[in-house]
Amino acid sequence: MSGLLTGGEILCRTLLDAGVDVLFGYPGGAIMPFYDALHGHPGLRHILVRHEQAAAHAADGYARASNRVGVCVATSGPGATNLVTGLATAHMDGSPVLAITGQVSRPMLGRDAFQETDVVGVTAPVTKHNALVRDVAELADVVREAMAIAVEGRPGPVLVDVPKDVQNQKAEYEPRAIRPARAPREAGRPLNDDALREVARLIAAAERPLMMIGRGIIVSGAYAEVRALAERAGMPVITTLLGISAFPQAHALHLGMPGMHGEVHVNKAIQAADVIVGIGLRFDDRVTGNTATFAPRAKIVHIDIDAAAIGRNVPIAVGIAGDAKAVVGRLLTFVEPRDCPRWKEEIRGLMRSREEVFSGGLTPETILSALAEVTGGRTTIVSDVGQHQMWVAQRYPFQRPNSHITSGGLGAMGFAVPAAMGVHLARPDEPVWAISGDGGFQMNMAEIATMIQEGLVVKLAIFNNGYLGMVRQWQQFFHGGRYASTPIWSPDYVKLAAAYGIPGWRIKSAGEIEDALRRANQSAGPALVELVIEQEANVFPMIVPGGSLSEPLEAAPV
Amino acid sequence: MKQARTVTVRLEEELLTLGRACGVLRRHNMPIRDFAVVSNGQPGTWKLSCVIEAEDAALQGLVLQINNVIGVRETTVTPSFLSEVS
Repeated sequence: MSGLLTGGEILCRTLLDAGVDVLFGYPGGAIMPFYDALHGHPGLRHILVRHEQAAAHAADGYARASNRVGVCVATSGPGATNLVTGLATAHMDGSPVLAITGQVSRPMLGRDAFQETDVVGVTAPVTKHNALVRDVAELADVVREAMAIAVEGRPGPVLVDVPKDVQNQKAEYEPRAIRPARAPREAGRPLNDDALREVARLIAAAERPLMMIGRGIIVSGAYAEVRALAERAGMPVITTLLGISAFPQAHALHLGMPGMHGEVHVNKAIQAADVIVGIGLRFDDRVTGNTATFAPRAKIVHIDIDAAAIGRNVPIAVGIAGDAKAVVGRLLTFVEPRDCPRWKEEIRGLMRSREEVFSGGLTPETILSALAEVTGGRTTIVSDVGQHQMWVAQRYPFQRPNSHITSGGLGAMGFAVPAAMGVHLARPDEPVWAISGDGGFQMNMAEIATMIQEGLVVKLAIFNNGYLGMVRQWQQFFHGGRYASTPIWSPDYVKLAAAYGIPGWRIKSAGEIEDALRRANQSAGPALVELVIEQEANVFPMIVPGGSLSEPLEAAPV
Repeated sequence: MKQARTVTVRLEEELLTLGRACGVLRRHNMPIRDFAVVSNGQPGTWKLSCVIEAEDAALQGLVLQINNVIGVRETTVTPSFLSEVS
């Protein structure tokens, strides 16, 4: 026992005892007792963001880069509701985030008090778990339980709503460890060797086997097992958007990304495959296109920690609920070494080089190759949402595990800049690059002030084409070229950088790229590089929404 | 083939858990009838039951998602008495 503490102090002690050392947040009326307690707990570093959405994205970026729970804090009402997009992002992509929100005092609950919102109700669909703390005596246990839930099974965000008077209430605090994570009920059963033997049999009998891997590999840390399985079976590997960097891009068996902006040879390989072993992915609609025409010849094996995800989107031959590392590790004992030279040759025959014409030679290929060269691959790339996101996914040569972070499922523009702040705190010894378009960057560019105030080192690259490029591309292809509200004005980014006191460069031709990126990468603090790219550049290939992977667009429809 | 089944969810006696389980039902947008929540079973638990007409696979997916809700103890599906007599 350690005497009586206030609820705010208990929150601080609980977080510290759980190993938390950084919080992203924004104070306000209903969370003030917690901030008052925070003042006396220097072991908890608080990062003052400029908008609560950034706090949630930053906590998410921290969680993805560190494999620990990221923590964000907001006050009641607007503070809490501003977290929602960040929580929904973490929910869709399976990232463990703890949100702590202040709430109006208990006697005021349900009376439409100032800054009262039913945030537990609002966030229920976008969190794994949430709770309103009704008594200080239960506060520590509620937080500990929420943190345990955040990491177990498929990770996800949790929220603890703490009324202001509970933060001021006093109780005894008893340090206790967070309970060990429990496997979800279906995934917690012993592995079924008969199912694994069946998977091994399917792989052995296949003429055109493929492996498709997603973020589950990164969460599970199953890099070595997946690589061993691919190499033992001679099975080409496809990485989904969130699976990028789960398998080395330069590996001879790596094919690329599937789906809406997947390479033609990748999608055609899927359509020709006779067995697909999908591990740690959801087979979501951006990956499959029209599910009725997806992989028509393939028997699909689906391995995932979330039993509810197995077979939800595509029909499967074998489903195994479990942790990827454990399942693939066990599967390896049943798979006989083999190779598929004719299949690999067939896929090679589907590959083609890109022919791109960009003004000033500023092609995505050129930019991203220069960035890889300048960083020597020693960086984490955090991409925003839109055309640049697809170019990064298609073309940046990721080699290290978990070096690519993006908002995949929710597709939340504005994610990259704040998420990169979280990544920096998780990986302070290497540069972090936030790559955005001019639209997404402007959503959260106020966070440069956070970087300056808190000493966060994030390198900012902006692909500026003067449009909300992906929406404009759809307008060009599917809406008669009517560019409704997609041209977007930008400030002078170099002057903006100067206003924040950081170096900035505007690049208009290929010859200038490397020098600017190198200087930005080597600068001691945040730096900004604006890349003025072709205005009406499009991302190819493209599968039309709801279309078949067999029918890629490789040029704008006439 | 679509069939009417009774889905029974045993869950912790907690409005939030009930709300989350109902949220899963709502998102699936399946026709639901005879919805009831009773508290005369095991102490500390409620029993939610309803009749849903759906394909087997869709119902199985629904059950797995409800099982993912924190605080749900068990979800079962049984042939619907109402469908048998109708």
